[in-house]
Amino acid sequence: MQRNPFREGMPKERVAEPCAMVIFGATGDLTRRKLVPALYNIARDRLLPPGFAVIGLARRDLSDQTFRDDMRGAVNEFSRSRPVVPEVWDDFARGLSYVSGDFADASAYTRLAEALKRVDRERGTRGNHLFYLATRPEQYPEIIARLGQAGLAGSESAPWSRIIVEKPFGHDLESARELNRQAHEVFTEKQIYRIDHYLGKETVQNIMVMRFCNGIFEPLWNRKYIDHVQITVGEDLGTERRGAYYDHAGALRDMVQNHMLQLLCLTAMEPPVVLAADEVRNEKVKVLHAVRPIEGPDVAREVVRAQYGPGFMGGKEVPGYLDEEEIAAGSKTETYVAMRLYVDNWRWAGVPFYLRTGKRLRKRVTEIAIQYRAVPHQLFSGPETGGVEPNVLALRIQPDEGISLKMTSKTPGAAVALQPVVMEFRYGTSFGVEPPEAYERLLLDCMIGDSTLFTRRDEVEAAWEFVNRILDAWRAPDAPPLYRYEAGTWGPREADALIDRWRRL
Amino acid sequence: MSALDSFTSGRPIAVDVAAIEQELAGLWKSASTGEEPDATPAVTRACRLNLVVRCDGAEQAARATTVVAQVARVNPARVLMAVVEKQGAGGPRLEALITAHCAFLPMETHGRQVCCEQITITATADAEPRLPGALLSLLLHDLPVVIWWPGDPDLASPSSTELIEAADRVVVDSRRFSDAAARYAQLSRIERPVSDLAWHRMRPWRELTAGLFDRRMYDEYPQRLHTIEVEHAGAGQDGAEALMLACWTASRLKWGHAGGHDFTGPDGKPGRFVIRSRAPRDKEDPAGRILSLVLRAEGASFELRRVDGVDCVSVSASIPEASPVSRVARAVPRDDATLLSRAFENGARDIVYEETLRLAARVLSKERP
Repeated sequence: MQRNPFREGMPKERVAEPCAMVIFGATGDLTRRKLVPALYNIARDRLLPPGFAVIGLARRDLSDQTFRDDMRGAVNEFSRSRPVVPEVWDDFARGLSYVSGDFADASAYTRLAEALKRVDRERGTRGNHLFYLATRPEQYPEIIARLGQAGLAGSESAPWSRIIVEKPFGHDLESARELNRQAHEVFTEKQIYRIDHYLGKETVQNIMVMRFCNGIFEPLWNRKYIDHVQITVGEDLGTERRGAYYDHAGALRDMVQNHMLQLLCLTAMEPPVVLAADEVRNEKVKVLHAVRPIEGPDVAREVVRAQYGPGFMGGKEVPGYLDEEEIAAGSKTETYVAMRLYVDNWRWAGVPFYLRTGKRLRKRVTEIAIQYRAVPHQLFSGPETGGVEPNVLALRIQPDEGISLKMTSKTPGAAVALQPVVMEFRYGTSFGVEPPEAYERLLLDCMIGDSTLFTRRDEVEAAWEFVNRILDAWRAPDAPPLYRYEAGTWGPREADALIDRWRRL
Repeated sequence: MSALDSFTSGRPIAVDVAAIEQELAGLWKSASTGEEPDATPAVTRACRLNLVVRCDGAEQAARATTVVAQVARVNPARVLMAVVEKQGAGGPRLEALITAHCAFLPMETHGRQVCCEQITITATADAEPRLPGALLSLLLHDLPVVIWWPGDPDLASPSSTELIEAADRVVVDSRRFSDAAARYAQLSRIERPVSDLAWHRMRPWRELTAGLFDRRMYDEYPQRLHTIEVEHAGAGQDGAEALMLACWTASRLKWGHAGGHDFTGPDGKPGRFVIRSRAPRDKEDPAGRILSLVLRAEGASFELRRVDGVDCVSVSASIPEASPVSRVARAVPRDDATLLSRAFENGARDIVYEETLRLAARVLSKERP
């Protein structure tokens, strides 16, 4: 008889062992908006392990009950399944407790260790601990070191300890390497889960499924058939309440180094031998190593950076970047980046990948578009035909998740007139269910010990290596200009020089 | 109102059985253009599967159509509804109606709808043998075929056999079976993957039971269990799901059937299950609903109990020399449309269900006088 015979026939790999999760920064925005609502939803879907407990740690002096009340308010405000079901909430809330303390104060970690012992004893979490760093990035090294000093770093195997580190993982290559070094002084690589919530999105995961589970795409997924690839991550919002952080980071660090390069990897990677965390990540790292570096004078030719000025969004006037809250006067931070890059390997040699991302663009959209080469001989030519447009396979990540394929078709009638038609698959209409939030998937994966959707050390450093060269060129005395674009447009006109035509989205 | 408007608004249109495809093609063509005066908005026709629904009588067909309309919103299908009217007179006769199930796209701002079609063929009792042929000629090729019996089917009849042979999946609801012993025996002989809505309905109970034994401190208890108690709402004859849950538990414990409700564990120790019924406490407690599952071992008990008045189950465990553990989990009763959609999710055979079914058939056959 297997250990738990009732699990037979159920997806046992998705079952997490009982554990306690410690959230550093428990009174912050991320905890309220994302983490606790995600945990509650996992509980609601009966996927949380029995006895699961959360210990919030932050500076504010709160009682357990006040923390629970705050979190209930947060779930009621931000959860996709709001309002809470009282019985489920009460059960979930029994596992919530709070430890007050400064992240730099050793005694806070002593109190945390005592709280963990109590939880392990009372709720049967067996010493399995998950630490979540939902704090400012500059506090990561201190917390990691203190966890080590307090003897809380544990081990890879049961009872296990794991640590989730939020982006940004470093500010540049050097700081990323230093953070990795500090983390490795306390935790092993298998214990470290670097989170990029983009990878938790259903449609991002679907890129691999679509590529490697459908026989018709992969044979055409190479330089012989693909003309170019466009990856767009457009945001309609400005800096919102993240002005101080964003002004320090900019679009290249905030979006390209992580989300966009991850999308590039998933699009360009070779099929992994098996669906195991390290096998998948090995293939992604190979892509990053194959990306041709853009450096020195090439940066001005291959990369365009820009900052938005005032404009109109949905008919409403919006301020320019420099007039947003918490932005330094005269800031030179880029809010838009477009680039052309090449992946120098057998599959992709000579195929340009165009990446663009920006704030205050015309709409919120994330899309990977594969544009196929034109047919070698135009059988249907002449003005009366209307011309032949190349096939485009578009993978839409958000907001209208799905896949579309543009083809050319004859319009009905005696004349040979051609017209592009689009075959569409929409997640919403095909499955009709609300996919879980990215954080739900990723938190559960971490509890289960599946790191496939988390970023490995060498991935992070390889991504920074690519981005760092561009940052260096932007810091040089002869740095390329920072262009301007009007809020509510698709970015600066200068970006049009990179490509024949950006996708109209 | 034009035929097109009737069609897309869900009103059935009578057509000649021999001209169904032709009529449908014409209506879809008009519907997709949306250029008529008094324009009907343009629609997109979608189809993921063929769903054959076999009903006895107009009343059952009306209920099934309501379910299918909900299902079609998330699983657009060509619905082939076969209705046999036992009271029909005037010789063997087949009549056909066509209609559409339409839903607005969630993010669509221009009134565009996604639609699929339902073809209803009503047969008089003496025309029933002709029904499978008429239905099967209307299947859309290259799409999976699911056959759903919303009532109490005779799965061994010639027309049922013909339909099952054409199907990729058979869907039943054992809660509706009047003679569970006979039906379980028939089901266990079907060589097609079977989805039982009653099985999907009890999924939260199975998941919560499994979750309870994920704790390592209870590792040794599955082999020490000696009694399975299941309580359900209604009277004794409403206990199909309770029996199924008890049989699932016993089959997971590898208990061998020793007659009646008695079993022998893998180590030779006796085990038994007890099924009790209780009068429903409120209107929302339908007959057959599971109210509790209690697993007992020497000095230990593991209990799952529906919390009255809310869609939750309390789960608790008590073993010697350890504090009792309890939690409350959400377990929302799913409607038939949700359960039916769930039945489409997986194309593979459910081995655990099949083992459970075989055990339930054995238990019932031994109970028969």
